[in-house]
Amino acid sequence: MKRTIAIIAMPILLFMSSCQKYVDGFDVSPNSPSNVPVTQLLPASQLALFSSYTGENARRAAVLMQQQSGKLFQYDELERYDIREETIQNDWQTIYEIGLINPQLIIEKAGDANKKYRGIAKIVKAMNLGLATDLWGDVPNKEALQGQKGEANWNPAYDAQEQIFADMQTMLDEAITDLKANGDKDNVIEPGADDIIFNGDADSWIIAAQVLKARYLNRLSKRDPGGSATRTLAAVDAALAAGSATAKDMMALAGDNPNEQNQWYAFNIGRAGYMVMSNNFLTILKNLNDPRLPLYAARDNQGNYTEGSIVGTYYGAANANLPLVTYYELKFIEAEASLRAGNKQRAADALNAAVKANIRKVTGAANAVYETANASETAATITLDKIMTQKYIALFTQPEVWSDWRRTNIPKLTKNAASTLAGIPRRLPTAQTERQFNSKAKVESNLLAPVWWDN
Amino acid sequence: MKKLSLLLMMVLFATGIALAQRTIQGKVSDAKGEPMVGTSVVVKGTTTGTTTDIDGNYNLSVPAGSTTLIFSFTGFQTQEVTLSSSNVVDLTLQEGILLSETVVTALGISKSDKSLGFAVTKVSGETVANSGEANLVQGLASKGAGIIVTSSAGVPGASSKIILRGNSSFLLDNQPLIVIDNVPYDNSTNTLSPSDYPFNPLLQGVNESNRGLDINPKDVESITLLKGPSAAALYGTRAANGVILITTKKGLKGLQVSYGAFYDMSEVNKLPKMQNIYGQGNGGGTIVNGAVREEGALAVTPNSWGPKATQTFDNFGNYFQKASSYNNNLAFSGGSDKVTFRFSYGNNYQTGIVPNTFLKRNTFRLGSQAGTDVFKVDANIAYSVTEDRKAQNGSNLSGVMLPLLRTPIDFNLIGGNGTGGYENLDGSQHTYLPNYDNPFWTAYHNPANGTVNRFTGNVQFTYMPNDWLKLNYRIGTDMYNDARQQIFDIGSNNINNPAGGELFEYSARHEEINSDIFATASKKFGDLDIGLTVGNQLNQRFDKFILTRGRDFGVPGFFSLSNVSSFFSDNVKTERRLAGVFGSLDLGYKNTYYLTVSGRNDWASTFGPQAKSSFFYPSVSASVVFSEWITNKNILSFGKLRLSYAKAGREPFAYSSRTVFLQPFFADGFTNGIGFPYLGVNGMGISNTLGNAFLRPEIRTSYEAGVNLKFMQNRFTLGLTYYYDKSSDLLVRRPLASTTGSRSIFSNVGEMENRGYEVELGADILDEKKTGFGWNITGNWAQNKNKVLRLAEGVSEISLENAFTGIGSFAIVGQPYGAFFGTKWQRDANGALVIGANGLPIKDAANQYIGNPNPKWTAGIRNTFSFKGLSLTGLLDVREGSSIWGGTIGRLYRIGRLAETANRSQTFVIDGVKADGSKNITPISPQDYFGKYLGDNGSAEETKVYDASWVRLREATLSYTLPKVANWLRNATIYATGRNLWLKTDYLGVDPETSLTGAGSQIGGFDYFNMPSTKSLIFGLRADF
Repeated sequence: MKRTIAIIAMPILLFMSSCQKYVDGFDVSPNSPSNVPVTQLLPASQLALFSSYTGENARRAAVLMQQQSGKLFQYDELERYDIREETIQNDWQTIYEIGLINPQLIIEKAGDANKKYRGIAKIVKAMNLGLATDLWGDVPNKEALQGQKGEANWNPAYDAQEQIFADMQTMLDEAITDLKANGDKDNVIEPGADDIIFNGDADSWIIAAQVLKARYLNRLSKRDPGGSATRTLAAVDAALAAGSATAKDMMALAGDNPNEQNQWYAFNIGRAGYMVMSNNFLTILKNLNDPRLPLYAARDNQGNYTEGSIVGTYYGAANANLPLVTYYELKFIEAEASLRAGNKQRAADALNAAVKANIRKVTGAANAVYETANASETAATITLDKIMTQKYIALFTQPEVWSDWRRTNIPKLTKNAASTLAGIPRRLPTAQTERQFNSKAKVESNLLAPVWWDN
Repeated sequence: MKKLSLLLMMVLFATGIALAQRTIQGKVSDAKGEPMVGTSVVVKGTTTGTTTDIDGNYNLSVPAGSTTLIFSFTGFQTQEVTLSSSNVVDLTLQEGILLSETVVTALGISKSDKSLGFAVTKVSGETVANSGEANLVQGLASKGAGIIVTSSAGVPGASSKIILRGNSSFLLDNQPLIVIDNVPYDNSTNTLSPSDYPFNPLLQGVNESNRGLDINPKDVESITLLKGPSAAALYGTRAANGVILITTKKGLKGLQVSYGAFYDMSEVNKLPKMQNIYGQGNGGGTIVNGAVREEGALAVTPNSWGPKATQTFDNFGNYFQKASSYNNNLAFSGGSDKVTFRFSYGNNYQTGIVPNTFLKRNTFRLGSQAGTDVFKVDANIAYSVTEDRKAQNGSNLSGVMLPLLRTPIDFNLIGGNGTGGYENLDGSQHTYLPNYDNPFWTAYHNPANGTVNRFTGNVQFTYMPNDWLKLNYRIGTDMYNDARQQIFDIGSNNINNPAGGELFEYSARHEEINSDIFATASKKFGDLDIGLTVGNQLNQRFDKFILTRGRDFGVPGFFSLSNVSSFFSDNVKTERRLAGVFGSLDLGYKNTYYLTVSGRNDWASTFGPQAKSSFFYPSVSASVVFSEWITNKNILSFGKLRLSYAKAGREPFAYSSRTVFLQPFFADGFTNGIGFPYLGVNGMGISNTLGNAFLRPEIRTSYEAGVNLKFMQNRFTLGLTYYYDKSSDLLVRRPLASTTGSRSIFSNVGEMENRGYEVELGADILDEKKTGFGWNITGNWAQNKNKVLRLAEGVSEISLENAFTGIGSFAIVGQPYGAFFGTKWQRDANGALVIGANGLPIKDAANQYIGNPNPKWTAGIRNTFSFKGLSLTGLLDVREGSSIWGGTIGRLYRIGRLAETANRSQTFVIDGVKADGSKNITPISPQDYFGKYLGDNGSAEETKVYDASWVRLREATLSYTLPKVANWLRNATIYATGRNLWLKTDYLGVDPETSLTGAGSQIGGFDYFNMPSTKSLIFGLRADF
């Protein structure tokens, strides 16, 4: 009897002591690393930028700004400004959960030992933050992105947009300083191919940062017309001095592989008929006899440019790169700020240069006829309307168009009569998850409520 | 190995000392003189015993000194026969009055029904096999109280989900553990989805199979459903949702050959009713601004708001075909006193209602039992090959139903001038809208081919050194390889890579090894019965898949990875282990009072290094057979009161303890998105779900009380159960605001309760033996109320799984699990709709609770009539009060296809109030009314939540058992079964027993162009030789 019990008990006791051992060591994922170097985080951050600046945010802006027209299903709803807290959820998530957190991790990881990485990360971060605040107004920044450090950080406070704009300027200034640091001690590793945008070229990044400074200073034109003009022009001067005229534009690069494709192309292939060229935009281009029309729009199946046309191959081919920060944008900013500052000649010159630069970039050549008609402004003829209309054409596909319209109301757009909204949206509603899970969220669901700089 | 040799030595020793014996033989028959097959014959006071063969004969070596044999058979009175000098004991068993039924419970231990302190449902294998369902899980539908089975669709191989007593976990599987011959059997629904696919893959793709499909129902002898967590102490963490215990058929003495075959004819049982007056167009106009339809033209409308059609086409009729299924089963069994075996082969070939789809299943099973009174070996192996071809489903431009149901009545899907009419001469698709695949095209050009090879095997050694102790060692394995291929031909509208074509090659491997070692001791001390079980379980699960995707075919019509222009590859490996030590003490007193106390400690591999990976959970159950108190059992022949308390733990899933970095993938909801490797560069970003090193096990605590009553010599039976269970420390992806940089973090913060009633009853109204005509009714009714009690601080709702923009299936505090959460209309204080200036209602800004997909109650009623070998049985299935999100209906309203939209010669005024409180009088056009109010053109999602209640005749079978014609033919039965012949429901769409997301999903109740269901007529025969 006793022996029998011992026989039963022995293996069980043996098992009990080894049960813990039996299960140990299987908690580490063989599928995903728990830590990665900045060389991996940088491409992730940049791709987030491409997605946020050339994906749904860009298409939505183009539809609201009547450069494109939404026709089917969700895009028919967008055409009627049916934009809800859940429809923009994805775009909000991309910005914060990838576009901002990963540059933030680079900034923390790179430290003083990898300043170029830190500098690039700051620019990328500023750009994502800039997009977020342009679309949503007050957004978290100072208390944001600390979720993984514990529960105390799960309700980040919203910073006033005014503060965000100041922070972005600081971030860009710091980035420029970081990117100028060339010592070996400052850069244990140097960015190279992992910098998809500029292949590690710090000078290109510095110029881009300066153009961005100008862009966001000029954004405050409604708040402080005079002061913003002065500050914008100072930034413009710095960018020009750094050689922006001959620098590479910052582009969202695309490739032929399906996961590298230009998102306008991908959309029109996957969602054929959802979104077409808008009559409003086509009319503007046709009236100006604009040489960019055949590049901006594809012909419909009758061979005409109508609402049967989709975006053309220049911006809509599978491997077409899309502009993010350009020299011609800088010149448009210069034109607008100069006009506001009372310097009409500089405004005219800058506009002429901006239009010529864009025509050359898009069509590959100068166009004397068009430039005579549209890029030969003088101090006497220059108007804000001309500057902003040309910028509206030149910055096609960029979310900047919507911000410019909100500031200047140019071009004049008529709200879609089929919409129940009283006007064209001036912001996006607070994301659903933000309303639900951030107790400090400033919830705004009125699409007509202007953001701070739009007041 | 050492243990094994020790056991073997003991066996040899024990057999060596077996002393003088004699052999008793005889025949057991029932009152009609028919042989009683499988009657248990046991020497009283020992474990020595045998069972009768197919002729009712037995042959038993009886140890010297034994005086009594016990004969028992379920449903018959157990009889004790005192041995005389004769070595022949023939016996006639009487049908049971006070039957002491046994139930196979955890670890395969048989317990008497009386002693169970919790409710179980027993289903015979025959009942399941007779349902005509190829999928065993679907065959359980409506077979007992508290069992909710939901088929995802009526296409071959589509998954069925089973839930016992409600959902009890947000993230972990809610389906019960399937155990076959005491070894866990994987019932996962594996989804082919690359990691760069950003959405819920279950919303589209094909109707994936739950792997319970690999079981041949004809191999099943019986099924016991343990509905609560009471068995978890013996089966471990996966049994927290209950257990489906399957016992396969075993061989008997004497050779027997069984053959069964059936032929099944199926067709679609329900489709939405469509208008067949108006054709393609908008606002009554023609297709595009008066232009002629031109294939490939961009601005064609998908709408059917056009002019009256001059010609109409029966596209549904042309598309869906009559499906058929052939099923053959052949089994040999036989053996001697010492060794028995059974071998079976089953073959099932089923074609689908969708052209070019099928399911082929070949199953082989061999089981053998051998041994002596002291040592037994029981070994089973099974091999199955399940092959299928499926078609695209759901929210999918290549889906079958999406383009099919939207097809304008004036468009002929097979009106093209190319092959089959669905193509044009140039090989392009013939479509009414270039975005949508012609459903014929998708059936023939976008097939999903799968083959699953599965092997399961187990061997159990039992050593019985004396009459009160049993030592068991059992090792079992379940492994399969799931190889699949998904083709999207050049020119398909597959959203991920339109035009160029796409090929997926997928290979998944599942391996599970389970080892149990346990000892059971049972002894009687006077009136006291004591049983003790202690043991250890080790379980290891390994899953791995490799998926390669190629895009853009070079050579048309050649589907190989050698023929693509770009690749994407993905692999995931998961390995997990569980070790448990368990014990259970059973006490019985005077066959009246029973008490079971059990406990288990588990060690699980999925906890983080900082967490405690060991956890303990106990259970206690008790029963009192109060009918023992009364002597006159004429009215109440049996009465039992039972109470149970059980706790079960569940470990978090693998790799949730650490935050990892992933290749981010960027999708904006419309395009195939961008991702890595990008232009030759790799990139990784932090996962938006944060790991948690301090996770604890989920705990489910269940309380149950019930009675089992039998009246009038067991003619009427009634089982009543009330249960309450609370699941706490539930694992939740605790949502975070994106501004934290993360989307969620794994946390043990959820709490949920289930409470419900279950009723099972049976009535032998007429006894065939007495009246010549038999009538039996069995019924079940159950109600489960689920409520989410807690999520996380400041969190009142969490999406359980991504569904659609505007509607999701959520856990909402105070609402049932899986509640619909979506957009709602604004209402005034009186509940009237608030109507805007345009005559349309206004939506509330914030999403809210809008419906419950879980039924209020379910019921099943079976009537069986028998008369001279003829038997007619019908199973009525009722599901009441469940809701369905009818996305299909919303879209069909919007595009003017649904029958109601034919009413378009008038304007409509929506009942409601204007902003100033006055009654709305603004008329709106039919296209606005059906599109923007009832349809999904910007309407609130609540309009699409429909009642999905049903009453259906799930099964009806007429069978005839031939009178004995010859000695070589032991039994022959022919039968005809109708499946789903009658359905009553208010839902406008397909059969409301449908699930877009299927059994692999945590959610249900979504219909977005789901495949329809079927009804069938089955003709079959069974014969035993």
